[in-house]
Amino acid sequence: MQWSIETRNLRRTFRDRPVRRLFRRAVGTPVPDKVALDSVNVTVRPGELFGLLGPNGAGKTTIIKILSTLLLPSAGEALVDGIDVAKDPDSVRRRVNMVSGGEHSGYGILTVRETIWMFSQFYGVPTKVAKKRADAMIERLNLTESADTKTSKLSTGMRQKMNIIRGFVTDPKILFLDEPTLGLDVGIAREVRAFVSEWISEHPERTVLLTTHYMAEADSMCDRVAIIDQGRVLACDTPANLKRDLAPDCVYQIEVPLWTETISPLDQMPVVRSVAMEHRGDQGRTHLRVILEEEGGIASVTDRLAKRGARVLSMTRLEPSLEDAFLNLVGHGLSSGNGENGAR
Amino acid sequence: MRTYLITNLRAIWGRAYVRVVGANREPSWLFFEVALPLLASFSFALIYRGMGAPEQYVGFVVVSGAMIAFWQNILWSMAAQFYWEKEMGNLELYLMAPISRMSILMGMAVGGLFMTAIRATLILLIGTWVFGVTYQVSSWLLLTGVFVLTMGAVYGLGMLSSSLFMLFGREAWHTANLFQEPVYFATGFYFPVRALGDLGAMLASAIPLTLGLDAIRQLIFSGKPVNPLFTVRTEMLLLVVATIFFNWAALRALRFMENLGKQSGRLTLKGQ
Amino acid sequence: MINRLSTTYRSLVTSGRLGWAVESNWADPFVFMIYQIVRPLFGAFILVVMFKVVTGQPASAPAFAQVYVGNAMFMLVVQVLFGLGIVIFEDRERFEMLRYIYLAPVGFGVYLTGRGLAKTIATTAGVVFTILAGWLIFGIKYDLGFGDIPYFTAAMLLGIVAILALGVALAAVAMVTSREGFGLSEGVASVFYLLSGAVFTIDILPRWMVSIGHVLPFTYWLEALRRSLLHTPYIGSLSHLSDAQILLRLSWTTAVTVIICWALLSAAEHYAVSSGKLDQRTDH
Repeated sequence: MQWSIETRNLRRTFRDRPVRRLFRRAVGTPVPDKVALDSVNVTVRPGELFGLLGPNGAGKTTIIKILSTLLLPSAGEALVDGIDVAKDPDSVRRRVNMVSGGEHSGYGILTVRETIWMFSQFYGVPTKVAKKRADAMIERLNLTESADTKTSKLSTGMRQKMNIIRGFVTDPKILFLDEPTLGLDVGIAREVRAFVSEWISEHPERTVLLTTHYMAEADSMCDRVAIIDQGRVLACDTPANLKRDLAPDCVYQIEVPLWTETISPLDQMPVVRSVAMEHRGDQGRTHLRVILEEEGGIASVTDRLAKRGARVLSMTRLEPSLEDAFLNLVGHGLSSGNGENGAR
Repeated sequence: MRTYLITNLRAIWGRAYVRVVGANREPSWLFFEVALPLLASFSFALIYRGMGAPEQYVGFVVVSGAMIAFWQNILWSMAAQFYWEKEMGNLELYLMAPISRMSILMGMAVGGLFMTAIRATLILLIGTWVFGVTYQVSSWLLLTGVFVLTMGAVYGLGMLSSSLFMLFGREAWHTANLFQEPVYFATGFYFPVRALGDLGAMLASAIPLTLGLDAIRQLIFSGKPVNPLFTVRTEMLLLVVATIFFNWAALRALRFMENLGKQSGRLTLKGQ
Repeated sequence: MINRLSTTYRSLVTSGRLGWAVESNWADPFVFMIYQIVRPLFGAFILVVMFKVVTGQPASAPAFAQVYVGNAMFMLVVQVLFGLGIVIFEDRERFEMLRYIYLAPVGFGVYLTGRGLAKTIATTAGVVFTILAGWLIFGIKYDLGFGDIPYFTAAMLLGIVAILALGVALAAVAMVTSREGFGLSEGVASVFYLLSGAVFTIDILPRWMVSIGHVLPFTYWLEALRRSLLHTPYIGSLSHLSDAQILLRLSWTTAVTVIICWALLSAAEHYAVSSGKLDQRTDH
């Protein structure tokens, strides 16, 4: 099978500049290379909307940069549409495009329409075709009123809609979306997600690789998700299968008064697989999300809390979510929580 | 091949469009871009007047004022522009597009040329009028040829330098600054380059502007002593070589530096 | 009151340090010094060759010393004015922090003055080096005795006050214009270069231009510096003034400059806020 995207033992390290490295070595304080990606193996099928889910600094953007020919791998291989990105980047570039969250590309002096047209020219799209596609997408993303506004006057949400159109207007075979809803409000994030989902359903032969640290975004949009942390892929499956790996009746949310201790008293318990803690300072409460090794372990958890002086205010058994799967694999939650910017 | 060529032509037009539109929407550039070099030319012309120099020296300064406009366009709006583009986040989008990097640079150059040509013409006209400079052109055809060749070589040099700026961090600013006065000095912008001595002038002719300026002076101040470096024909021949060499070197250097940047990860690293 | 002064002082020092850090690019001081020195030195070389080509005399000729000193000193005006114009552009469009600086309780003028001071210190190194190069490389003879130092210092300080005031005001104007606006500072510096007799005596200019030159602080600043370094008046139309009178004229023209610049700063700040120009992006 011809994969849309394939990485084989992909590794990327970053090192200090040569002069600084020599200096540090000379003064006896060498800095080890920073490993951004370590033996990453991922395969994405044509037509798939594939998610890379991980916290900040997990290596998601590094993968995108390598796949989009902006960075070379230190070791291993990365193939896009069967083409090695290191050996034949020109061929890769004809097939891909990329949109990042919070990007400020373009020139403030151009209008939205002009900016989209300009970038389409770098892909050789005839002006007529580019304008027709852009107009359709502008309308679909409710950007018509701002279409002739200079981009320097756009709000963050409007700007990101423009960026999204910039990526799609070249009709790429494979599209990389690097945290595309970063910093967007609920409404605009939903519009962007709907647009991406509709596009892929209308173009079943196209592929989208989406990176995100929003659990619900990955859960609701992606056909399959790879969970990545500290440069390693920890699991790769459909969101449903990732959740299914967790036994039922094993995920609980416990509410206690504001708890200033670390999670280690719970984390070290044999019945506990992992714990995430979220303080709700305004309510004077702490929410503990506990994943148990087996059913029936919850009693010993509440006992331990009681011994630590934490009165249980409420306890709810939860259906396992993608966040629980993540927590289970990584051992810690994502700081920004789930259900971010209206992903559900 | 044809598709690749068309894509690159579209890319050139796409990037040039920004500059053309920018010139129309922010007309304030005309004042800054014309007035400033004009004032600098005035100063140098007045220095010559103050020193009691022959009139053709004032003419040198006026012509150089126009040529400086091109050099500054190359330096700040093309070579160093890659650094700004990186900071703005555009460079990575350019680099992942299926086009030659030369097309982006050409786009900048073509777009900038529109403004620069206006700027240079105005400087030449105003300077000529204020200082009453008279020209005696021996051959318009050769003059046009020399000008076109000089631009070809100098813009090639600019593209070569842009490969360096692609990886530069904050030092880009200082580096671009360094290419001003030393270049004005070495190329003899304000005096016949022969004044640097035979060896100095030979070395300076490695910068195509030196040859271009020298040839232009010979052609438009014909009959007046301009202390030329070589004959116009020799200089044209050298400019042809320089045009081919610098454009070829730029192509190689851009690819090399891009690869280096992709290996080290500095290509898309902002705020270095 | 003391609290406010202390805050102003702290802001001035912090912005000065920030300016130094940005100016020096967080680079190796040696490399930075090279950057600071090469450009002015080549500017001087151009003048040396021009003089030699026309007059056939060496650079050590007394007539050239006046040109050389004026050009070297004027670097301070050019660099500080241009540098502050760039500060606005960079802070607004590259670092995107102009609005936060504006929000801070310390005045915008104090921040810009701090940045200007850093630029002044950095440029002074280049000026000193160029002046020394004049002596060591070109054989220019300076005549600065101990007795001249108070006069030289007073003139220098007054000149720096005028430069900073003008730099701050023009930076404020750049705040309300597009990217090209920072060129305004360079343009004004070029006008002063012409009208204050940096490299030729203003007496060769048309009468009305000479009159303008006579109300500019930089004309008296350069004249005072030349008199203390070379002990000969340069501008013929000022030769009837004593050294003390030159310093006095420098003082009042500087005072007027500061007042005008302060008004310009306030007006530009007001316009920037009312028209939403503090965070515009104009780079293309």
